[in-house]
Amino acid sequence: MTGRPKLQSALLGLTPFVALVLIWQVAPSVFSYPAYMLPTVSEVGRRFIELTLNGELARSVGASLLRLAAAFVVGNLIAIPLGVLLAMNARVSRIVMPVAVFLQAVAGIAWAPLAVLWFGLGNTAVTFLVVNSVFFSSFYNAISGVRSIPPVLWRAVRSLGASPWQVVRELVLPGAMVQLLLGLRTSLALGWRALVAAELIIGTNGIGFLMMDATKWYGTDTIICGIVVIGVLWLAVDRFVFAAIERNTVRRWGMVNDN
Amino acid sequence: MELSGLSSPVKIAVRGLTIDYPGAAPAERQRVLDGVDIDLHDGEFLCVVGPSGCGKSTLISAIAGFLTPEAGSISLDGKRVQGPGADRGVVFQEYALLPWRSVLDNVALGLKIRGMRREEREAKARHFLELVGLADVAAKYPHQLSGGMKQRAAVARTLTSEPEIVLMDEPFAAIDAQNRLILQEEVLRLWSTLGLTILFVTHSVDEAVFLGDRVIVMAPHPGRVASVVAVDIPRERRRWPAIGSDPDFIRLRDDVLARVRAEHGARRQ
Repeated sequence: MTGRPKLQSALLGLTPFVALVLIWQVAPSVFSYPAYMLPTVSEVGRRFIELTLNGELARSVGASLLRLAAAFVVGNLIAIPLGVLLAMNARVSRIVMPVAVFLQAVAGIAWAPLAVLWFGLGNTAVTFLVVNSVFFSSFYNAISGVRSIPPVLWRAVRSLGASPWQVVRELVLPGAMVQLLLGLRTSLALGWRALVAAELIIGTNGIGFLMMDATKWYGTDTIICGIVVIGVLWLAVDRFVFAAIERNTVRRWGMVNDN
Repeated sequence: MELSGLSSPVKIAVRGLTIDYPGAAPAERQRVLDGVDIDLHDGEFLCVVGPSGCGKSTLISAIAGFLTPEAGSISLDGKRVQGPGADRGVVFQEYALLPWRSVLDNVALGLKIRGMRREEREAKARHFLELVGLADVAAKYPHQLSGGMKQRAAVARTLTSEPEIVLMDEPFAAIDAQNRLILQEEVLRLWSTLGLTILFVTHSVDEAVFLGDRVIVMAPHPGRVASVVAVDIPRERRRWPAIGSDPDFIRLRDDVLARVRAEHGARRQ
């Protein structure tokens, strides 16, 4: 039933990409610029195949994704329980909130100088920065998600005899699910960006490092390969992972509406 | 005259119940209930009516354990009520079903919380779904049901936990007129077949007189009990639409209505 419109919308979404590639293809014949500034489509394609065959791309992407996954898990394991606890308890909120707002201002890449001094260049420093970036969106979304649960539902569950832990499991986590998913999605996007940025500045491997390293020998083709890979990977995660989770949870429960 | 309930022991005793709502500033503190005394007898169907601001919903919230009284006490079977508990089931005007659980899982929730095994609790939940006429929508989610069906499911959820008393807070206020009459008859049927004890808050005088053994009329600002009317209409005559032209029903309804209006007017002076 939805097969045709789905295909249509996928094709519509592809149009800007096709247009961009076309412009890129004809650019050299319209403008004049040195070849190293913007290689042709086929040159980038050739470089992509090269990087794939010699395993460099897989190694870099693998290192980056592994680091991102670790930082994403660690960041959310701190952010979500803390956010939930804070939303459920006024005293915890009064203690934690000021420090959270203070830290938010310097979240992410602003920690790079300290991270280098503490952990040296490389993996640990990069992971530290990414955890920091991942944290805040999940933290704030967890808080507002829990606070958006209608008071009457709290009353209903408590008058069925639920203990605090049962309230969390039966009400708080599913009730805040829309916002928790939004938080996870945003935090992964921010984490991905922070990761690439951190690898560019203080990394010793990974996709960001691969791109930065390529500047030493004017490897514009490698850099563009990197940009495309970063974007495509994110598109895939967003479309297939998060959309699928949403479909099977909050959408099925009638908690979000398509407009 | 038979007044079922009044000869039986007291289930809920409300004594001198006084509740304040804190305002933004100390000066805005408001007294919502002031020295309320109410007895709810075992097996009784007790209705509470009154103009808005009389604290009738606050009364339900207090007995359910959601509010802490300023003064006075509430006890169930002689034991003081402190906080919410499964011994006092609540049916809310807004249904309060969990959107992420199927109807069956919503109805079985109280049993799950109590730690009952899945097959056992589902069998019991199905039994109560049948009682409220929802057996065929057990697998649906709340957003797929009409308002009337949602409230049936919420009633089933409350009854499945087999509470000592059932508190109903304007449960049919958001239901259309036709379905409201049907639900009133159904709740009477459940009350008599299951031997329930019910405290039912409503703004509809017709509903209160149709359902109750007694009707408590409350006065506003601050909320307090104004009078208590015994409804001595035999249960077998309580059927819509026939009861609408029953002389006893009309007399009692007009009596209660006059009392409510008197309280409403008193507030405006």
